[in-house]
Amino acid sequence: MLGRDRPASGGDAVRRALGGPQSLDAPAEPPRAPTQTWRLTERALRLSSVALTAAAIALITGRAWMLALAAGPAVLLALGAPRSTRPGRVSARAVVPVRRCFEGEPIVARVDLAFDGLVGWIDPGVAPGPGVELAGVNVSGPVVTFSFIARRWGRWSLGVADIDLHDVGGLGRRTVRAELGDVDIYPMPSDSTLTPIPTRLPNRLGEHTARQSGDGFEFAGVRPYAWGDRQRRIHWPSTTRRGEIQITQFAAERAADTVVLLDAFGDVRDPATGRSTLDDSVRAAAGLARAYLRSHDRVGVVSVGGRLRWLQPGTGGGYLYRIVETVLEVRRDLGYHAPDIDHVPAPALPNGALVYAITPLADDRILDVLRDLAERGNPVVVVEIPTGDPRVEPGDEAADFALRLWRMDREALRFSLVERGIPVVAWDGSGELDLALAPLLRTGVRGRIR
Amino acid sequence: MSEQSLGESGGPSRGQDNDREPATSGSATPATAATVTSAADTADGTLSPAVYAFFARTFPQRLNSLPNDAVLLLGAALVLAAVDPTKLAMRGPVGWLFAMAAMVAAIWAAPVVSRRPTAESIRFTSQLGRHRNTVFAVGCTILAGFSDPPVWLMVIDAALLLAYLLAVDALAAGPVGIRQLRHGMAPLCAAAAVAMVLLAAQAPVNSGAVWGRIVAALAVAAAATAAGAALWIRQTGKQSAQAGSEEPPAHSPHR
Repeated sequence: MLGRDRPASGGDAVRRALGGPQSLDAPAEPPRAPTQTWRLTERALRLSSVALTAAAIALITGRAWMLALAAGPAVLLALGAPRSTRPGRVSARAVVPVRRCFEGEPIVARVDLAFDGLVGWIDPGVAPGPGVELAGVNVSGPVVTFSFIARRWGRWSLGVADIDLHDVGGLGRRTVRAELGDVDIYPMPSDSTLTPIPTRLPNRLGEHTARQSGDGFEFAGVRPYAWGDRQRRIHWPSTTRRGEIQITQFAAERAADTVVLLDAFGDVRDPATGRSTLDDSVRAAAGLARAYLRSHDRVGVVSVGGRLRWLQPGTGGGYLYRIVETVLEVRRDLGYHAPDIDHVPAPALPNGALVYAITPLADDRILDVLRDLAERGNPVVVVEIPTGDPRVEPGDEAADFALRLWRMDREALRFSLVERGIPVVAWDGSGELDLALAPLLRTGVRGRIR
Repeated sequence: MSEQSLGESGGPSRGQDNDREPATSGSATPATAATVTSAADTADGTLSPAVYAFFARTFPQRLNSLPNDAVLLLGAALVLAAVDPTKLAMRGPVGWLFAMAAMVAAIWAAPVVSRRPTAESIRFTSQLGRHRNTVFAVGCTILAGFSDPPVWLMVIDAALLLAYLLAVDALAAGPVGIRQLRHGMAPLCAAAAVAMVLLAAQAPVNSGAVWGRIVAALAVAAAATAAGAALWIRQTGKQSAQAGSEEPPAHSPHR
């Protein structure tokens, strides 16, 4: 009643539309479909209950003055009784102009209502999908606009909107439902610019300096002159020092083949921070893919989980979207099936391609996959997404020992991988991925020598 | 107590013309497009800027909850009147205890429930919480009905119950509740009906005097007249609304 000059508070409208506080862990199933008929509003129920109760008491007790308590609500009911203007046909159509976005970007959904009469109040409600957060609700005539913020990558349902149409008297309401459809929310790639390379690069022109000599720009050494060498390549300091003509050698510049191996065997939530390992894994994968694609390398992706997905390596700026779309539904792949990496076709996992295995190392099946990759001869780097330590009750001595054992087991696991020639780097999802990858720049990543 | 007021929830559409005829037409019949009402016609704008500025200056922390506080006070007064305070002294400790329990129940049930009416659960406690305003009003009616108050307390009971229902409508029933307060016709009709029935109820029809029956007959005739007047008002309002919908509005209501 006091709000003439008050600033608009979108939070209240959002809270009302949601029917309570917002939770990102919303149930995946939409609420039960409302009935498609007119029914009493809370106001009608309140007024009629009071009127009937007062009248009944008056009849039972014989107190005529109780009819006075019934008279007020009865008059209000009579004045608000439904007229012929109540809509008979009601429909709603949802329009979502943009159904693809990155995490953190807004999504706008508009619901156009159509009805053949008059309504006194449009009261919108919405049950958002699990990956989005409702940010605002706007009602302008027969158009209801919902503003969402994309919170988690994936292919989510945007939710359902249940919009109450109240008649002019405020005694009846009818709910119309609009399905808002699905949206594709792309992961926000992690900050990554470094592109470690394997020791052996495929014979394809690129931007990485190879160990072989070639026609690049990086100085690789000098050698004695041979017939046919160009005069402009004479290295004069070495020539004067050695007394014979020396020719400058340059390193070859090659492109790398990189495959991102995504561990979708499970999704572990950090007990302390609540972060999802699968969320961070895909963000790291997107960051790595973007960094290598910017270096004009070929990047592919293989996702192992209950289902095997792959995309053979490709290059170009738009390829990042194809990679992301390949793994966008990977949340649904969680299962008990152990896929065989041999089922991945050869073009999807080229011989000698650098493989980034992004995994929380929480499932033994990924170790079998890593072993198979190492036996193939692919240089493999494990990017570990830490799951966080299990929560231990303070003062529980046995739990403390168990935690120590658990940590030692993890250390042993990492040590066994390093012993097998697979470097392990850790990225917790919060900092820059470059810091984790920097040690790999000292030397090239070696694969198994056959 | 912490429930938000409906008027605060109508943020997105605030700023519309609150004095126009409230109704929303669907896009299926653009030719009959009338004016638009949404949550904007809720609690906003019922106070003048000067009054609002006074409240903002005096109760800056409680500004947004003032309407709910007012309804709570109204509910507490209604409970107090319903338990018949004139006879509390005669009822002893049990009566006082009962009155205190009723007051505590009022503190929980009287504040406006303005959440969307969605059925979250079929459990009794959930339903009770959702309909607690209705339960409160019905409970007060029952309390008042089984007491035998003096006439002046009957008047107070009836007035407070009507005021409570109107206040809850204003805060929880959307534009309809605000509109009926702003136009004043519905509260006036309801108050007139209450007054008339109270007067009729006090007529001594059982005393054997002839004039008592005459008063009762007059009351019945007045009630019939009031009902007819209400229907006539509604009929004329309906005709004017239909006439208005045949002509396009002079200005676009969608701003």
